[in-house]
Amino acid sequence: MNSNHDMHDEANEQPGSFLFLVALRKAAARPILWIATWAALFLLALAPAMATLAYMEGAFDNGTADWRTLRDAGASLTSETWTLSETFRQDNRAGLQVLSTTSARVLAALAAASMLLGVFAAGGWLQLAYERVDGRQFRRFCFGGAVYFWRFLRVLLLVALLLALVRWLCYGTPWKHLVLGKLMKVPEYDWGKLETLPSELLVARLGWAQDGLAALGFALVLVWGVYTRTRIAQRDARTAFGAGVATFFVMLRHPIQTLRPLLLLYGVQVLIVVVAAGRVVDNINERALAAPRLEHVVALLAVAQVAALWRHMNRGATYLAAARVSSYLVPPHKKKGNPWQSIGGPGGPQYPVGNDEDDYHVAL
Amino acid sequence: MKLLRSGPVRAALALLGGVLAATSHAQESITDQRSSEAHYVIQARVDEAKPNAALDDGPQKDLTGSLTLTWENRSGEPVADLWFHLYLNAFANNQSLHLTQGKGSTRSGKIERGFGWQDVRSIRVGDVDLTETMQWRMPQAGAPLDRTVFSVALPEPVPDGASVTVAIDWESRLPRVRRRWGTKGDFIFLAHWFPKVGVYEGGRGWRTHSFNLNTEFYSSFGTYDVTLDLPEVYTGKVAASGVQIGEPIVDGGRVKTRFLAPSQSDRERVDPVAGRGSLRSPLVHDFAWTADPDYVVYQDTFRWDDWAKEHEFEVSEAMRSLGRTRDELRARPVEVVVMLHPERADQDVRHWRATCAALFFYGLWYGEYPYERITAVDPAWGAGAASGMEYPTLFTCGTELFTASDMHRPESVTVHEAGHQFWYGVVANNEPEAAWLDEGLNSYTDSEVLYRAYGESRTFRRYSRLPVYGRPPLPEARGKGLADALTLRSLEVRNPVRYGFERFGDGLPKLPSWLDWVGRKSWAFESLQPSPFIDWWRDQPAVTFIEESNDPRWGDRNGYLRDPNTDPIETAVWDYADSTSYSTNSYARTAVALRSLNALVGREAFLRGMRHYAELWRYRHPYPADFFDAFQVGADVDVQWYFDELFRGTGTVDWSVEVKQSQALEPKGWFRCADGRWQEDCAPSIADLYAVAEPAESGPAAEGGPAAGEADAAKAPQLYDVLVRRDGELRLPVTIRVVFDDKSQQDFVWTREEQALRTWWRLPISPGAPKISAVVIDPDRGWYLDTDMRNNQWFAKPDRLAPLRYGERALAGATHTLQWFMSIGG
Repeated sequence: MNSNHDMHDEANEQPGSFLFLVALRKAAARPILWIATWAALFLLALAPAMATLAYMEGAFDNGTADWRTLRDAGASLTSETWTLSETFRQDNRAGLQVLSTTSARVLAALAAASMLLGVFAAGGWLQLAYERVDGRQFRRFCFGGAVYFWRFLRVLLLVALLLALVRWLCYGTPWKHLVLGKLMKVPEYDWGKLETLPSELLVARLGWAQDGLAALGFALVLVWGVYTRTRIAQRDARTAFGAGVATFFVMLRHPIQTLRPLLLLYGVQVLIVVVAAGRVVDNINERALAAPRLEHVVALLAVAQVAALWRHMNRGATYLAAARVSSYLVPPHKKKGNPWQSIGGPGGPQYPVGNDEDDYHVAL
Repeated sequence: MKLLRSGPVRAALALLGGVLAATSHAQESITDQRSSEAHYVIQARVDEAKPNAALDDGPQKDLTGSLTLTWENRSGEPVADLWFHLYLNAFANNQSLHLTQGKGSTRSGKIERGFGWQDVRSIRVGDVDLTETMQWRMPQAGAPLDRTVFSVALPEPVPDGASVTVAIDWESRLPRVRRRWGTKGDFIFLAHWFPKVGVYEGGRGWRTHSFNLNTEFYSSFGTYDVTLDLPEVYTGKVAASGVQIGEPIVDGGRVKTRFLAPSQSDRERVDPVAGRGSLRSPLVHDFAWTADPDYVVYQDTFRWDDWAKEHEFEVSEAMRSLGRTRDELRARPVEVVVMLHPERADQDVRHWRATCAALFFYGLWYGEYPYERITAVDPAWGAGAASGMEYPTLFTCGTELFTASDMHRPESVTVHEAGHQFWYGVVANNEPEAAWLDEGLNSYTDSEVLYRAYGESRTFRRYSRLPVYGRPPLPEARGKGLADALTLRSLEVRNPVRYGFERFGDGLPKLPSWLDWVGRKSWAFESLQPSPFIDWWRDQPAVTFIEESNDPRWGDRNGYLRDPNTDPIETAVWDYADSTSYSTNSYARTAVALRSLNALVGREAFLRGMRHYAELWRYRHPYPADFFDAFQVGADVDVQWYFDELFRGTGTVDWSVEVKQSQALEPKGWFRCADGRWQEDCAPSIADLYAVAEPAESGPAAEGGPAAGEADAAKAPQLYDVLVRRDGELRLPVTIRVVFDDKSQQDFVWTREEQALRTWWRLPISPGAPKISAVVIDPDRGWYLDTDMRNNQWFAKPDRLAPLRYGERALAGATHTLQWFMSIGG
């Protein structure tokens, strides 16, 4: 592991409440990385998008016109430009169904590729979290992605197993027997509909509790995955399972320190992607509904992709924050030690440069 | 009435119609032979029953009752027996006709517990006990164990015009609500809960049908005086058909509540609408009631003038169409009562408003709602199978938590069920034999009302019951087998525990139910199966969803196209091929056929026809032919061919248009000159060859005539080739609009007669200067019947932006979905 001085100096200090902002700033300073991961997914996403575009071009053909043409024709037809009419959806149902089935399968394949890309990107971000690099960021990012790929792939398998466990706990036998049967006294024949419960509101609340627990479990598993990868990178661990078990106990001992920065980063993401971008999208939709123009489509494209870019940057910030927390909470590997501490890193000893004491360079 | 189809007779009657209407209608009301009356006085008591844990589903209730029925024979012939419905027995076993047709299941699933039954203890006429003459009747084959209809022989036949009084005692176990009625906990909703006499039709006998899966209503009009004796906990929480009389009487832990349907004042009131048609007084043909200690009651008055102010256009249109004054159209005020459950109490005004919308529009078009009160009931949670049903002056809604008016939930159900007060309630057709007469007319009207009162609805998607507007631009990433495994959605592996026991032992021992997963053949790892909140984050609705709206009128067409040609609309419920055919024909196809009829005859004639039918058959029992005849007389049109083809046939229609246009070429080659020589330069000019119109002034040649000139000689005209085709058997007159790029238009009408000769038509458009910019079949979109409207129009300039729009949304959806999957990876 190529850790460097500043990380180790920082490691002695407890991460502050604003770690999430620091991580965001550091991630933002590496645009090449989040633009690269975004671009990779963007290229993958083009496949279903182009399929939709091609289908729609064929379906619309000469059969639809923009609202101006319809107005000039004096016909009671609805423009399909911004929303698909009842008749279009009905009459193209078979074609849309085929498009939907095909898109679902293509997306499934792309989803698998995206998960692998995620495995790779995690290694890349962690490589840069523990290594000070000026220039060549993308190369080191790819290096990290390659170095940790197989270990992080094993982490993905563990994540998948844990998610299956969470799902089983929240929607399977334990939930049914313990919550529905024992706690709520719902007879077994009614576990599917819950009609023996006295009110719809109670059923809704029960559903929220169930879905909320599932979402919480899902989030915790993903956070566990992040810290497990971070631990592997930090300690150059070989066993994903061992790192996972250790991470579990670290998270159990330090729930606030481990969860806070990631929760705050998630909050920022919600604010940016859901609230801010959502409002802009609403605004564009409102304007476009009466007289849609190309500018509206371009604006939507921009908003959606900027939101996606933010999510990629946020992902990077997540690993930078996790690395910082992990450096503080997880001691370095005793046997392996820190080879660079004694010899000063590749190319010779390290020393502060500039006015900032934390600003170290590796002499090459 | 059939004679009216022939032109001269119909025309003569139409001329005299206004003067003679009252007289002829009065005569019809006497001679239709289906207007016997049934007047009931009922006492009923409900007690808790001891539930059987193995068979029942929560607390059970028993009902014991006694009634006195006075049946007035107006069938035109003596009647020797009486036939009764005993519909509660549809849930006495799983071999009733209802459950046989439903293959043991109902709206709420398979019936395996919570049965109910009904036994007649005694039935008497005066001192004569008729109990021994009781005979189970099975008018329809298929369920010999059905016990939903019985008859008794009368001591002597009842002559036409005379009446007989019958006393009946019965007892029943109320079923758990599985469909239409029953109990759930303390909630009670009861319809068809007492032995109810059927309808005797002169010449046809008793039309008393068993309780079918899909239809159930056909009873004689009459009056009800009902006293309900319930546990005290129900005090003030009982609602029923008609109105409550006096305050509830509480005594000894019980409460007695009395209802009259119709109310005394309704009975004594002269119905101004019936006065123009059937001349009968306000009556009802059934009695339903409900009780629940949890009910929250909301009450307010429907005032016609308030709604008329909001919908002045519709009022003016009705005045013009029907030739009535505003005062003649004004409907009476009505008390609208809404019985809600506490968790949905915030929907009170919405239910009230939707009910008012129905009272206003239906009343405006078909004659006022004649009763002083209407009650909307929100069934309890777990009793949803009772929702969305109509009974006289009372109906059940269908709602859920977290809805908004622009979702049309519960508005669509409330308007529909309130609308049944007109089609079913006041005009009471034989539903099992012609369900479309109430469901179809009502479906047509409810869509019209919804559109006028609420506009289009917005598409939404729910995440853990919470709605989000719009729809995702792409489906979920999934597919069977490998695709689901790739997305970690589902991966099945052989259960090693079971395999081990089977391989090395005597198989797996019996396990308790909470350990059943241990013994399954395979284990499914479902890491990323849907979970609402997680799915919400994956979908990112705020930045990826597409807004979509739904026009309820076009929604009817969607329903129609589910099964457009299996059966004719006019089919008895048991003769439909299947439930899909029944529901399509009875609801959506009828609605579409009526909406298209509106386009055929015009709005004013359509309103006149419907109004005439509604007035003529108010408080009576019409059949399809009565509707066809009354409509044509009222509308003063002869469209019997339309009824025959649309309602008694299975024909469909699909029009299409193909357009080609090209510029005429200068003639080239050798031509004979005036002096007889053959030379190249003697070619005729384009202006001589084609009659070219002035582009700016008169548009195409067909409209403005030729205007050849020197300037035109250099300008080659457009040659048009517009070919319209018809696929399917239906021949309906249709307009085709051709729009030119100089904004001029030309309309062509392809008549039924021309369509009989050929299935295609090349539009006679002379060559002209402007290019065609659009051709639209049925530009006013009157024909909702066209099975494929993709090819009904052609535009020279396609909409280039639309594909980009949906492509961009798909890109946004895919980008964010894949980002979510990426975060699973790392």
